[in-house]
Amino acid sequence: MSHGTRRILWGLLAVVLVGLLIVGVTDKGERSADQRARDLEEQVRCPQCRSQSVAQSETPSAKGVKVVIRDQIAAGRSDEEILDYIASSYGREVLLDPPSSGFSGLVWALPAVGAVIAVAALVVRFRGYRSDVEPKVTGADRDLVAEALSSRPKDET
Amino acid sequence: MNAALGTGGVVLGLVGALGGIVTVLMGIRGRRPHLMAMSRTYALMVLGGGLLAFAAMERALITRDFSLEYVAKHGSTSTPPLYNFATLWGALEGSILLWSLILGVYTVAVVVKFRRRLSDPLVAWAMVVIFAVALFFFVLMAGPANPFRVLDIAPADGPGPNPLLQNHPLMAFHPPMLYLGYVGFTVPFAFAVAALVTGRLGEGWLVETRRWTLFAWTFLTIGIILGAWWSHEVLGWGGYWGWDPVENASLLPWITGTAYLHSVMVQERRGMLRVWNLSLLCATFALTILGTFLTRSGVLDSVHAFSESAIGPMLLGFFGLVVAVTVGLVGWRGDRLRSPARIDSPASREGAFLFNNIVFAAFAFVVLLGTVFPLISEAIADDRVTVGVPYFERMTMPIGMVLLFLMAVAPVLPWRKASAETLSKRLIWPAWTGAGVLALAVVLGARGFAPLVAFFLAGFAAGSALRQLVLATRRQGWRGLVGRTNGGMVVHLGVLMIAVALAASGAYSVERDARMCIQAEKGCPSTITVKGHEITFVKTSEHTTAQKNEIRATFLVDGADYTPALQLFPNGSQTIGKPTVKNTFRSSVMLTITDPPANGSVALKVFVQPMIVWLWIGGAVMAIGSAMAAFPGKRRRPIDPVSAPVPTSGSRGREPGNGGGPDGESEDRPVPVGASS
Repeated sequence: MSHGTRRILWGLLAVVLVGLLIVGVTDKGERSADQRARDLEEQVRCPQCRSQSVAQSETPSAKGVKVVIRDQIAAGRSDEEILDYIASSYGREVLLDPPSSGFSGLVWALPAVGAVIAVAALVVRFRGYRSDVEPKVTGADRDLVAEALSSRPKDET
Repeated sequence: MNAALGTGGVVLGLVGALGGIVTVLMGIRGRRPHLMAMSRTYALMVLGGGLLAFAAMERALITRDFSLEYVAKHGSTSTPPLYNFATLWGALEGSILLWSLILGVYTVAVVVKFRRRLSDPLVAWAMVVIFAVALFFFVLMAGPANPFRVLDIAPADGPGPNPLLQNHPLMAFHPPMLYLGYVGFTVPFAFAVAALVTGRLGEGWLVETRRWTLFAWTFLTIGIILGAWWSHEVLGWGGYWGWDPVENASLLPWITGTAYLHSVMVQERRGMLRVWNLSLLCATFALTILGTFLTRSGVLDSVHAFSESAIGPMLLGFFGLVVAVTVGLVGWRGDRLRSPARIDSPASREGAFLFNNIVFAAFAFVVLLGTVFPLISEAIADDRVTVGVPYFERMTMPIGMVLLFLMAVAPVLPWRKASAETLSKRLIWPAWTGAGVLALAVVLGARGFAPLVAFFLAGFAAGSALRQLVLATRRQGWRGLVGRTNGGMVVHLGVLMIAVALAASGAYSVERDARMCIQAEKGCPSTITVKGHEITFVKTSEHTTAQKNEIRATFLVDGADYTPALQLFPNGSQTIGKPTVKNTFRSSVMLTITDPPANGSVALKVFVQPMIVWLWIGGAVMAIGSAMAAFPGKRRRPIDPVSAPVPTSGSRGREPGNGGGPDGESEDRPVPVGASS
């Protein structure tokens, strides 16, 4: 395959990918109330469990929260309003997402800071290495290599 | 009798481990080879102690010896044999016992493997470390986690194991597999410490522990997958992974172990990343201890449960010791760990491995942070927060995407440096494979940005892996499927199956709650249809055995019988749902009932989840791939070129893979440095 053909294939690939993704992303229906309820249930911890969400649990308290969520959706509240309401009645710790403010903001900030530092370190490291200096090869080096290569069996390569 | 035998075993193991440490250390100090070689005897004592204790506990469980506190608390006369046998590892003390036994097996395996080199200081130091770890676990059993505590008055019967641990046979296999993995990391850790202590920091110890690491990693993988499978079949919430602290504790060493398996290749080839590899290996071992601490000390329920038993502080102390010792040793040997080699270009195999490692480190950091953050928050800010599934999903999803991308690109990268031309040539068909997978997904009705990108990347990565395998088999015949690189590509294919299954089941699962009646009435149908599956409620029935009482509801789904049930165990206050799951290659249907049926009506929960079975198939492929990777591949001759040849006049570095060469492409023959123009 020639260089040119390959370039065309890559271009075509980009077009196909963008096209497929556009089809895949735009053709999406509205979330039903049932789906919304399910999504919310996955963000609330069952009050009497350790780490199970309401969606995963069949305990009485989890069933209670499910009823609350469905009532709130029927009353036309938004997702944020519903989560706020649950947090105020069951306590902040039933929300499975830690709050982004205060001390627990750290749980969100630390990975972000770490990622920035890691990327920066990589960039610095590679920049330091990017030297286009050709290694100096002496005649002795070439002799060594030639000797090693000539001692290789010929059946391969 | 059982208590005496078991305690005897614990003492034997304790004495063996202690004796091993003292004798081998004396041998090292006085340069007396016969003392160092005595580790053989002490290793057998450690294994013998573990075996004796294990046998005594099994005997107590099987003969229902309720004078032992452990049996009285966790055994019962009505538990069926398989679960009765597995009760040994169903609770804290027994799981420490299993840990010690497996460590004993590994100790003897090391002694056998290195039988001719037991008086080599490197091996001797490694034995000291292994004995020290064994000593710790036998001390745990002699003290705070004594499985052989005796009751003054033996009860006539016990409550039996936790109901969830006795209703699926996977429970008998998941923990031992996991422990084979956990404990197996002790061996490479011991050799890493030995290399640091002796100062023999070349690549020798790495090569010698390579298969041990792979072995441990493989069993950890199998253990995790079996755990997910068990969870999907038993818990009945349609999930398989809940980012629960216990699950995270097993995932953390897996992440660092996986990172190590990759970066170790850079060190073997190019002598780089030495400190990093040592740190990863030590971190992996330390995380197995930390995981045990997190899951076994009760600390996660509340910081204040921490001091209730001595086992928490001891595990935490041991973790601290491991970290302090390894950090100290790496600092002490820092000057010998510098590597002369450098990474020439980010677009190279080693550059990709480095990037892979940073991503894995970020992965481990996020999981660890999310797991321990509630503790930190409660201890420091006195603020109880929950870090749950949404957090982990949001943080790990981009990491997973980056890993998929790396799996697509890295396998075709040459060492040293790749040109744009090479990349374009080698990646074009894998990329089109990804496009094909994406097109298929869209045609089949998959929607949404994240899952579609995941499908594309997975197809892309599968293309790269298959390309490597095809080229290798064309070149070497069946041997192109074994060896580390080729076996690794098979493991990649397994990982990709899992990735696709995760994306598909995460995005397109359907869940439906319905009240159903045998005789249809208004608002209570007898037949419903969920995603094309017709579900008919047929009957209910009740089954009582000594172990449990079971209420079953029978449904007909597409002509097949499903009998989800509710189980009531004598020792449980709550009923436990037992779902029925049936898998096809396309999707899984799970039925579970949530309330006891009454008057011919029942509350049913239906999950239709695409591609679940590929999680388990992918796990099997990973295990097979690891076995293929452990099988010796084609040996590279020491003088074969490992990296870019110096360009010689006239030959522009024959580009392989286009039929020009007699041997197709050699993975190690990149474009010459400087030829990229």
